[in-house]
Amino acid sequence: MSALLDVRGVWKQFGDLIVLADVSLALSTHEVLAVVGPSGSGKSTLLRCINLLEPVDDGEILLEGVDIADPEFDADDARRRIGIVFQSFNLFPHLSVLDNITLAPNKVLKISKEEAQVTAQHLLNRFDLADKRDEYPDRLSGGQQQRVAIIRALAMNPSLMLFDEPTSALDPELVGEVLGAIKTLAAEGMTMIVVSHELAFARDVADRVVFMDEGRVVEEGPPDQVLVNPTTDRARRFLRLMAEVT
Amino acid sequence: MTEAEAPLRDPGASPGRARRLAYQNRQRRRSLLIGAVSTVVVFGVVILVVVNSPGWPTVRESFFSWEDFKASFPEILNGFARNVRIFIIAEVFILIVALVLAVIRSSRAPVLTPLRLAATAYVDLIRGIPTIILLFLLGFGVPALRLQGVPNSQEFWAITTLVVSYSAYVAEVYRAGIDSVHESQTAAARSLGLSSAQSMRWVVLPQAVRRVIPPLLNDFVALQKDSALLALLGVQEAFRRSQIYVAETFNFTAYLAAAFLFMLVTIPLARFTDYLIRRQRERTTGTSI
Repeated sequence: MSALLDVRGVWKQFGDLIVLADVSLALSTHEVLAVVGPSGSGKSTLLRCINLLEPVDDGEILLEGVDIADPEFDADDARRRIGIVFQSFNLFPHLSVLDNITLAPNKVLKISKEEAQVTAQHLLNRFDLADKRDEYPDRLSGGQQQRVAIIRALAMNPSLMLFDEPTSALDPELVGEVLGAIKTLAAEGMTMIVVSHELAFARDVADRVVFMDEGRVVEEGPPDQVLVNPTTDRARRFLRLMAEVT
Repeated sequence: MTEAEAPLRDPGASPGRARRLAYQNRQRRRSLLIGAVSTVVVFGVVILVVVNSPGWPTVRESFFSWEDFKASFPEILNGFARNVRIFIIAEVFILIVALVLAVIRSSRAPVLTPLRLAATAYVDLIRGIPTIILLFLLGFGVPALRLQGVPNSQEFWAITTLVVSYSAYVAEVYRAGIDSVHESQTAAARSLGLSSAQSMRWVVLPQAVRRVIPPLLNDFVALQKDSALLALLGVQEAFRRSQIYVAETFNFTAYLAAAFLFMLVTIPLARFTDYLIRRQRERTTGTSI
């Protein structure tokens, strides 16, 4: 089976700081990959590189067989096929929920406003937000905002979704609704990479888990192996620390 | 369980709340009274002193003469209509030119490098030149060249001067607004596939412009007053008309009549700007302090 996404030997440096050191990972269609690791391990940077929000210094990122990290490649074209959900939601505060969702389909895919609104309404119904379509983001709870952000990304009909710590800016009682939405997507067969500190969730939803530390992939495998019986010391230490916190 | 089912107490009925309300009302009446009395006393004393000073009758005669006000006012009002027309036309062009300058300066596209350099130089240069010098350069200097196809109308060059001068300032106001929109907004827009121009147009600019409306209005107030500078080119606006009247009568009331007309438009606009700033602050911080 050919990979939907194939990251090969990616390097990224901010000044003297090496953030990604020879990172490689592959992902097939319908697969859910969880990326875990201590903060500063390069997880978020990896997602930003895959979405081309940060240029990589070296390596290849093959999406459906084409290297999108090639500096000659049209980055806008790659981005519209990859959805990303940010830690801090990043909804557009001057637009209503509906307009947040329809902006990119209308301007980028040139779908008519009416048609985009039908799709948006459909997605809002599916994620239980139909009554919020005319609200502005500031008037929504964090959990609702993050679900709108998920819908906004889905409206572009991406072939890959990236989640950058989607619940770490939320109050604890709101985490569940966002994780629930991500789970629904996984069940429907969306291909996703989820960076998360919610290890129980990662174990539950992911087909595979990657453990990163200091910019490297340290361990990779099925959730029950990486998150329960890791083979490396670093992963074991991290799991012990996380167990103490929760 | 029992706690949730207990009926909510009507807050207005509790004696503790009633006592607090009564105290607040007493305090409010007290501050109002103190404010009113001190205002009357202070201004009363000032007026008394001024009116009883030895020079007052002459001052009143040459600055506050009702007859001269009445006599000069129609002409000045007529001239003021011209000020209004000039500053409205100028403002429209200023808002457009400044926005273009600000967008050029904020863009990072390499194609725009020469334009970006030109815009930066323009803003620096124009902000360094006193408006009055610019006015003389363009208003007297350019028509004197008698170039073919270049308008000679004084009003045209007057408006041009205001547009050239103010667009440099207003561009900086816009740019501050653009810079204040957090880069995560651009990241979100780009991640959805919007190009950098589309992100600017649909995500950054709408937020930026909304934030800078109060400072833009502030500059508009300044522009209205600076439209009086055009008198120096001989444009028959309010200040010019009052100058003519003063020269004929040696009575300065006409200047005050012109000033009065300017205040009539600038003060309400300034108040409105304050109101917008207050509302914006309440929205972002949730308090009125």
